[in-house]
Amino acid sequence: MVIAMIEWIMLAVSILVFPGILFLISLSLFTQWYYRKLSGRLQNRMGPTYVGPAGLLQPLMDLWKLIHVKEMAVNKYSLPSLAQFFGLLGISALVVSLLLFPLSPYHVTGPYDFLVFIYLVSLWVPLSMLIMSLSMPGPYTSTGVSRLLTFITLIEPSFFAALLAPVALASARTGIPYSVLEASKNVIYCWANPVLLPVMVLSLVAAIVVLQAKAMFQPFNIPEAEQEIIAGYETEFSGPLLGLASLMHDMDIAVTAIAITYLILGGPYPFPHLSVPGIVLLIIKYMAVVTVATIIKNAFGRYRIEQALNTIFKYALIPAIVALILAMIYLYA
Amino acid sequence: MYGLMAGDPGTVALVLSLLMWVVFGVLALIYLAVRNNRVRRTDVYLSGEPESIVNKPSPSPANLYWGFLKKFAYGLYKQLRDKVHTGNLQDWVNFMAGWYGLLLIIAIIVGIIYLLKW
Repeated sequence: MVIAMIEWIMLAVSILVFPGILFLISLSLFTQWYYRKLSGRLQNRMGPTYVGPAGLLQPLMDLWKLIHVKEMAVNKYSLPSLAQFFGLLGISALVVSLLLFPLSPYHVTGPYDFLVFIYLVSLWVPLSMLIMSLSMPGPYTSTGVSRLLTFITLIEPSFFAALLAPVALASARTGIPYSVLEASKNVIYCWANPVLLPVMVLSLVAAIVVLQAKAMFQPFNIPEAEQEIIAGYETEFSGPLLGLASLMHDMDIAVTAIAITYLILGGPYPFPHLSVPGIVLLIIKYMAVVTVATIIKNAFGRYRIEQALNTIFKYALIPAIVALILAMIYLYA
Repeated sequence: MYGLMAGDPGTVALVLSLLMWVVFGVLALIYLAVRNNRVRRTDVYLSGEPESIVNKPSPSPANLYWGFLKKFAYGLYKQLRDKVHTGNLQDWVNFMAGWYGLLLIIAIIVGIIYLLKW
């Protein structure tokens, strides 16, 4: 009875506080602050400075202002309730996806649960974003959505393949194959195996390119393409709805970076989570992933749609598929 | 360690989908409590132009066609076409024989591995 009660409490804590709603919102706002600040410094600007120490609370203030203060502008074609419904649903999918990782005090795990992770982050999140945009129609929005759809045809398969190779290698011979939990714990040993090193490097390169494209950082910011198509798929969003869309976008970046940190770079392992070296290593890996993405963002200009697709094809999909074939040869030959 | 160890991915998907709706409920309550309920009616944003300059509020889905098929997929197809259709029959024979030969070798290797039960 007491054990069952503790299980329920841990589940509630995992969903509501860590690594659920509270933590994920905080992490995504911190990530936004970090890439804005670093981008600012790389461009000889200050970046966020006004709210909190070094502008740390600026993303929180921006979110609060959008949701609590600003009004929502709607036109006669808008369906704002549907847009808000899918905004919240997309955020919910991202929150529960973290229960699959060892980061969570309450784990949900099972064989092939990696497929469930992909179902949550590669189906619900893009679908929510697309329906949100289509619920607030306009010419610029539709152009942005069609570009986003075009992107998704390559990004999501690349994301799946880039993570599948390390997940297969690290978990296939454990008792729970293709499990996110087991893969996170064991993937660090794949880096120590010289035969598997090329597979890990290919997967990492593919995953970084995918993160860049999922985050819509330069050179892959053609779906929002400021100045050219105003704000692309986000053009008709305003007030609370813009707050939700922006939060979902930042959470998507945070969850993708967490997935790369755990499933390719091995999270805190070989140290345990609740140890100083483990926490430091985890933070270093996460920050390294976001830093690389931010540096690439600032080093490139915007690609045209076909240039972006060719780049994703060459540097994400092909390396990911090659890594996957090599991993399968290693496992089953 | 607390958690649920499921025997199949279907159960994991079911549990996480149910939890997704729980999170949705919590977030919806928080969002409805803090959001600004004021709504302002505007026209579709058209860079200051009137709505009459477009015949539909949404452009055609042909964007997807032009972006993906014409520019990206056609590029891949063009490479393949230029490799195969050089106008020289010998090139075509080499291409087909090369790929069929590779497939045949793979099939023989896989067959041997299967028969020897490696």
